[in-house]
Amino acid sequence: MGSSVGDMADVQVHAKDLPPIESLLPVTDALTDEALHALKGNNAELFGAVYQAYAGQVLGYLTAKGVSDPEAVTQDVFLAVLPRLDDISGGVHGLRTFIFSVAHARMVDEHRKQSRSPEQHEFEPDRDTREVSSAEAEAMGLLAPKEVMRLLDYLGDEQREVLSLRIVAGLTVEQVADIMGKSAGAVKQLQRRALITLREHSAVKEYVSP
Amino acid sequence: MTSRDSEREAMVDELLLDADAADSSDLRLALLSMGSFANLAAPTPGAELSAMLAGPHDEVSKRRWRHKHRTAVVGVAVVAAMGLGISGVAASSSGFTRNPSFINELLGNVQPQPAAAAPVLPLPDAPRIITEPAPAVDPAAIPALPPAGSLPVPGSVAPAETPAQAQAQAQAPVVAQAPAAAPEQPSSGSTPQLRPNTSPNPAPNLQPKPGSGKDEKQQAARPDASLQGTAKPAKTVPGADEAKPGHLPPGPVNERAEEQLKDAANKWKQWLKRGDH
Repeated sequence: MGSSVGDMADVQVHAKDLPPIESLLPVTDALTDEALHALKGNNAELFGAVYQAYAGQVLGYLTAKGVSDPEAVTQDVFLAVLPRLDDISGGVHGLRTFIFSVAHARMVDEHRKQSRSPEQHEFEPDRDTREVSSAEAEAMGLLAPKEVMRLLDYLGDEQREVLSLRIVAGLTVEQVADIMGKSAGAVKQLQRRALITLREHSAVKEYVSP
Repeated sequence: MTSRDSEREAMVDELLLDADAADSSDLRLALLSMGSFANLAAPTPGAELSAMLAGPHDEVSKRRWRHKHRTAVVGVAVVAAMGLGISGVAASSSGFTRNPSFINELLGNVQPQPAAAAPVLPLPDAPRIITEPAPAVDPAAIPALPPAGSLPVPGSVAPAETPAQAQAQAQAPVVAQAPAAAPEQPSSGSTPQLRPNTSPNPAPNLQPKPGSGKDEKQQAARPDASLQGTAKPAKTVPGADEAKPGHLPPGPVNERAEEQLKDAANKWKQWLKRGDH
């Protein structure tokens, strides 16, 4: 009896040491289909939850795409997305596709503006305070954002777009194909060529930290 | 490392496999570094976005409410419009119909009217003094009529009274003498005894009238030929006709008029029915 009580106490201690349950769930976003359904009708909380779940990813996608003012464009994206949340179907995956389709359209608009006046805003990674690497990133030997941006400059526009949507936005090949208006085969071909370009480029090794 | 990072690693490995570059650790590290952009913090929302995040915009919420309740609003409007249309058609179609029941109501209303309208009709030009006996006639005449055994009798009173009162207007002083003379004929001079028996009311105007009412019953029950002698003085005295004994002769005359009125009404009904068909 005494040993069983001691085992129970050990179990409780171990349960306290465990990380929060949310971190154990295999979810891509903090926002799940159930949470999205439960928040429908309560727009104040729904808007906040959607913004907190996707704003950082949209900002990273726009940053990876070289948008001059990614923060302002991110806010424009959500100003267009939030009022139309009721019209979105497909749960979290449909919401993610919709958000990044809007972000893609805004990114294209920004690139057209930059092509007309390219010297208005230059992305300056050195001044970007958000590039502070986490301890995990440093432990993993990840590249600094500045290095990543230089590496992506070797890619073509569509190759860069496919990699950004696949890796930063976390979309599938089909979702990327829908957003870019291409077939899934064309998307796969673009991402394959992008990876070959990055691997074969001698400069890749230069940016990898020892 | 969070689950998001692990999923991103899995996606990077999948990309490397598709490109036959799974053996390139440098490339894998570069792709993971690119994926770290997704871990950027959400930018601080601006004024416009903050207002939207604080709550739904008024116009948006209104539009959404209208969109959700559009069917209910349209349904109420349609039902209201249909109700107005139906009520309008019903109101316009029920005004003038050739339904015989409507005509029967019109004709049926004609007959009871004289009994109720009798005291009202003689008023037009008559002085107030002469109208006093006229309302007094009704309470005496109405109880006298049921023994006569016919509804037309009250109806016949009205047309008979109108000429009688017209005469009374011309011969007002005779009216006072007529009540005294009329009771004497049937009662053979026992007027003081009849008054307490017929009506206990001490009112002078009402006392002779019940007595005359009884006389009317008796005279009406008798054959008309035998009553002609007694009816003549009533006719000769216009004031008496108007007061109470005057009702005796109009009785049979009014019955005839009633029959004529009925015949005319029936003919009119038949003519209308023929016209309808």
